[in-house]
Amino acid sequence: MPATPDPLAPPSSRPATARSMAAHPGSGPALLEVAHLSVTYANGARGVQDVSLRVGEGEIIAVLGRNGAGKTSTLRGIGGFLRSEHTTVGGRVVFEGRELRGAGPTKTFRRGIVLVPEREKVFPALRVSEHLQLAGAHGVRPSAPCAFEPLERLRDRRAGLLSGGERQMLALEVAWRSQPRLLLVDEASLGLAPVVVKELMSRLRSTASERRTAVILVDQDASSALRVADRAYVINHGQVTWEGATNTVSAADIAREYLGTSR
Amino acid sequence: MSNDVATIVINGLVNGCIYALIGVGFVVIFRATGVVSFAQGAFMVLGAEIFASLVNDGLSTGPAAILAAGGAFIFGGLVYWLAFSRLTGAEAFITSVATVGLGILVEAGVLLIWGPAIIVIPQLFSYQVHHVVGQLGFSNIDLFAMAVTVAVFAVVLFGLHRTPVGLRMRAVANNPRLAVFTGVNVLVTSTLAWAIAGLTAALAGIVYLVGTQPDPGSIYALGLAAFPAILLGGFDSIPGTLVGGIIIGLVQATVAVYVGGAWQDVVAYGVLLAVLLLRPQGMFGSPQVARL
Amino acid sequence: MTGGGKVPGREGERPTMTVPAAQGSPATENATVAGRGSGDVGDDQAFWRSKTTIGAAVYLVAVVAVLFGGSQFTLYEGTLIATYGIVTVAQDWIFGRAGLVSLGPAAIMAVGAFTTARLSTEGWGVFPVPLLISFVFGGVIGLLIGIPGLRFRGLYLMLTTLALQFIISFAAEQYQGVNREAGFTVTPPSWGSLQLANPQPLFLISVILLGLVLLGLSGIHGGAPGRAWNAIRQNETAASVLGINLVRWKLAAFIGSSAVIAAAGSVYAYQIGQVQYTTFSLDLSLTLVVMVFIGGVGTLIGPIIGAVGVVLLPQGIQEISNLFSGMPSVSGWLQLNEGIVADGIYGLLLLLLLIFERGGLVAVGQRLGRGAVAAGRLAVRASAPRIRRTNARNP
Repeated sequence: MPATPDPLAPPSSRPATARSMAAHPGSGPALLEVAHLSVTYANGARGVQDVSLRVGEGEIIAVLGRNGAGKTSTLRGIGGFLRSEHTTVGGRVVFEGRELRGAGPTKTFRRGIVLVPEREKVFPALRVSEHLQLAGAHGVRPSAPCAFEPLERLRDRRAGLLSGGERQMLALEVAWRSQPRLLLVDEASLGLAPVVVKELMSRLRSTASERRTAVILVDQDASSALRVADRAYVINHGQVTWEGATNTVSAADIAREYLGTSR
Repeated sequence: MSNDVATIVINGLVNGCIYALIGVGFVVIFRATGVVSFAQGAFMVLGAEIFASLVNDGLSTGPAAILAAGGAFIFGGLVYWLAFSRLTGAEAFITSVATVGLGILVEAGVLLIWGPAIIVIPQLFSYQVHHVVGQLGFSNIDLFAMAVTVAVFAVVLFGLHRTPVGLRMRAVANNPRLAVFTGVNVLVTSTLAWAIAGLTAALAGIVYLVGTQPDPGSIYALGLAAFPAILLGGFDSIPGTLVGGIIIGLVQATVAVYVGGAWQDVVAYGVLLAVLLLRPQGMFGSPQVARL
Repeated sequence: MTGGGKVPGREGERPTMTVPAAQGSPATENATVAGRGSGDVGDDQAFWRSKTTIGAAVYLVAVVAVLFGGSQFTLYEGTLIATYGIVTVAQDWIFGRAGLVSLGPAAIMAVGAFTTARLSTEGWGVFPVPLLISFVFGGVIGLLIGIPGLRFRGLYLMLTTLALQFIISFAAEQYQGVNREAGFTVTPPSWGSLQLANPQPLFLISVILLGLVLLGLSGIHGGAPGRAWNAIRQNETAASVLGINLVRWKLAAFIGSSAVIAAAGSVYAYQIGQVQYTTFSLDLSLTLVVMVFIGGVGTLIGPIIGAVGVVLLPQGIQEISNLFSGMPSVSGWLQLNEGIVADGIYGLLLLLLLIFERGGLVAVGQRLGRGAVAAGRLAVRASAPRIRRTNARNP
């Protein structure tokens, strides 16, 4: 495993590595290209007005913004809405060169995009080992060691009895085992203590870089996401209001961006 | 053992088995797709009529039962695939009314094909009675009913807990939305659930037919008569539906002997009301079904 | 309408067309597709009033047409439609507006019917006394159902009413007793010395009652009670947070709809003349529920269309079988199995409507109407350019 920069160091002091330079925008074909995405819900409400973003192979992208800004809707717009949700998705979503807009979660899953949803990330009645078995249908043997080590000793525990942090780890573990090319993580830090979030994010980053999986991290908590992301977008009222490399900006700048008081 | 008690035990167990067979399919549908099906009676009639036709044409009991149940299996799956898969996300009440419509449609179809008369089949089992103790003796028909029930429950429980397909069904039952995101093909799993429900209901219909000489209408009515058993056991519990079925069966048999046959249904529905008022999740239901 | 409109009772768009009642054919007097007072929350006062006025006018025309132009059979069917219409409109009240599910309307009708049967022979037969007493008894039953029913929503309430349907049916069976296989005879209604036994007075009674119910309901559905029920149906918790007294409004819906249904049962008793517990079975209850959905939940016209459809469908099949008179086997089979074929059609129609058009036949009619208007406009526009071009050549 190549030496990776310390994800816990403040962003401005992180040296630019070969990896993050390769992920610089415009340097090579994008894994995911989203152009002018719009999402309209059944009741007419617009979740996303106009969002454009791109993700390079192996990049970690943070999508930040206030509650209700349209981050989750953006993620779902990429990862697929269920038919029963009656949403209209506009714009272009191109994954690995092929159009994907409007495809449901089953199809996007098959193409290699896995979404870890915001709430209800695990099956409470099923044991951890059974979760791994479910994921095992997609290649990785259930008995293979967990990328998130703490889960190893919890294999027999029912997911409903796990702590918040453990559940998030399980959700991510199940997602990894499906061998995604692109991982979409919605609000991983929600309800978790800062210490737990730090640990989670660092594991996430190390696993992602190990497997060269691209990740889009949606989070309300900017600092934890910024620590591990290469680039970030800020979404306000369904539109991208700021984008850039994370080593050029601090969490405070981003927070000002949320509140719209910068520049 | 006195004659009365023996009658109660035998009738109670056999009727309980029929309720349990109806109920297990119901619970499987409910857990996999969230639909409260009022159409189990229709699958029962379908299974019974197909079985009767096959048996009257000379086919022996076993193969006839397998074919009839298989037909209902396919039919149940088709019904979900073509119709109820388009109702995902609808309110529970709507889907239930849809099952009422389905039941009416299937019942009409059955009556048009086979007619409303009592279903007559040749004698399939000898009247040999196997005595256990005193007056308590089970006939071959009784044993058939109980054997089928035990087999079905064993297969369903084993399948759910020890096979990959069963695991996927449990995942869908536990969190349908997440199941989609984890790559489970919910359409296939749900279709399978409905197919299983069709099969178990058909077997229930066949068991009922073999023991009595019913007309299609009475078989259809049984589909609703199973509700007290299902609620008593717990809306989403498979073992519960077996226990609930047997308890209701025994209660009804007792009422029939000591009070009068006409009171059986009322008492069962009285139990249903009591369960709803006192403990809606029944004996083994999960907390999620305490308030539906 | 966007999406599939999964919440019953919500009208996607206000109907903007009124289709006049078909003239002449006796089978379609009541098949009016007018936008009557729907109780949609956003209605503007004047607009609402004009819809009700149009609806009332159409209703009167239809009633008069049948009353003076219809045969005995037509009057009979009309009375049946009106009676079922009262029940279905009350059913729509309880689940289309208030979101409370009931599978037991037939049992409540039975209460009214049995009351009327006994009262009419025991010297209390002066009309409308049995009707009013049935109304009151119905309200009492509604209260008794409502109190435990307060606890439940949706599914469990449905099962509770299912249980009650059986229990009341059983009670009726016991009351009727083993000796009265034919049930109770109903002495025809009389007003002093005036006998109201003929089809015409009976028809009049039923349509007047239906008219009163419709007027009353369109009033309350459009006002504060309607909004309260609408809120309860959509989200009980939110409604109670908004200060809506759940107990009061839910009980009101139960009591009111049950009273109305029992009154319908009373009229029904007069019509059938002989009251037996077997008439008021689960089958009838389910048929009444199905009628509401087929017609269109959440509207006042929908349930009535459903009633019309269900009552007239067997006749429709007769007509179709006459078309096949050249093929006696087909027409014979159709006539023999009229009832069963009708049932099959209801079941299929219900399924199709629930999947594709939750708004029922009313919504289907609206769509067809809009389609016809759009097609008409297209036709007009298609003929216009020719005129313009000619003009352009002549400066």
